[in-house]
Amino acid sequence: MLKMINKLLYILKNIMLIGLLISTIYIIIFMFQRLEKEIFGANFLEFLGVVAPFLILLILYIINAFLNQKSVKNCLFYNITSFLVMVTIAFFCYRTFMDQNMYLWHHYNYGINFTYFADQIAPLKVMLYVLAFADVLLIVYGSLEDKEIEVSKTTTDKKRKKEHDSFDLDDNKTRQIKKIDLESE
Amino acid sequence: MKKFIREYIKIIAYTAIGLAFFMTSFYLLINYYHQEELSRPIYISQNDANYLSYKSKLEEIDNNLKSFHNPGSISDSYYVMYNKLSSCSSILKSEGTLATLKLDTYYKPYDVYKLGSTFQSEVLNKCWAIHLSYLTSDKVPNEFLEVAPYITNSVDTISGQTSFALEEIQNNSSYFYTTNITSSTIRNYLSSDYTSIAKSYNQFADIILTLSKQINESNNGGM
Repeated sequence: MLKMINKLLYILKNIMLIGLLISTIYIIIFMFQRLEKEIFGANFLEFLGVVAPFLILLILYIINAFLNQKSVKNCLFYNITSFLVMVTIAFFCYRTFMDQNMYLWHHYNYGINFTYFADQIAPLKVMLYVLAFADVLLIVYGSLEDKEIEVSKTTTDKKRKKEHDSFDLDDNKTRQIKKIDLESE
Repeated sequence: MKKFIREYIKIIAYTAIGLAFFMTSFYLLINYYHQEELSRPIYISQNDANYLSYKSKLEEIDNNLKSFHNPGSISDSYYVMYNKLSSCSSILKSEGTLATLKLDTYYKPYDVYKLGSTFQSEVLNKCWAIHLSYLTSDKVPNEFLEVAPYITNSVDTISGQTSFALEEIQNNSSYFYTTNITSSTIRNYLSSDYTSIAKSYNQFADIILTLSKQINESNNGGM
């Protein structure tokens, strides 16, 4: 059951991240348009500052998926938190587009409440960066674990081989002794 | 040593995840609370005191203006004032003001904001600024010299309280951390904002009523 929930959360967080990245870019484009700022000009760094945490996390998730990193995939706490962060950002976006009880939604005439979204950018960035940081740590943790398992596997193999060899030697010795005994008889 | 580093990394990773978990829970809950606060509309009943008193004042103004006649026998300044008050009376009853408010209805923040902005754009900018602001100048007719300072002070107060209520509604689009200042922005003050705006309408109607009474008394030989 837990495995199933974990898998579901893992899939959902990946899908949601892509959707939220698109909606964030959409909001930022209109925000810049309203302020008469060019995205691919002097304000590109400002634009990148908002989109960068999404992109970093997306790259990390792609790495996790392609390299099948079990330390991240199987971490239920990480997947729950990631999913919750995505839900929170989705709620930010929903209110930015839909919450007509906020005065500025009407004031801007865009159907987007830019001020509300601008207030949420700082916590949004912090949450995504923390998730990315935790992801990197889990990858490092996973890689160290793999190495340790490999090391322990190789040492046990060697031990077994030694034991097997010694057993073979013993076997040969007993065979030789038996041969000598038979010859003497 | 490797095992120690591995465990240490695990602790840091889980602490970071915990931090993200705490932050996201906080923001999710506070946003939900903020949305719930704002989605609560105010109900304006059939017997809304502000509306009823405003309506009765408008009726009284109309009666005073109706009973004012024969401008040839009184000084020009009263007749000028009569014309100005007639214009103001129609402005006070125009679309979007408190006089045209639908009762027994729920009102959302933007509706209350529109009521306040109509007061500013129609009542203050047209009635006061165009028609009555000459009462603040040096050329105040002698007939209105006594009442002019009271009117000026009242309009300043009314303008201030309406702006404050409108700013409070404007501020509902954002919030900050939960300090005392924040809690005041998260809390829904729509009801008190409506009361402030409705009071502004009533206070302005009081000014027009005072002036209409004055020209009416002059008409009857009282002044």
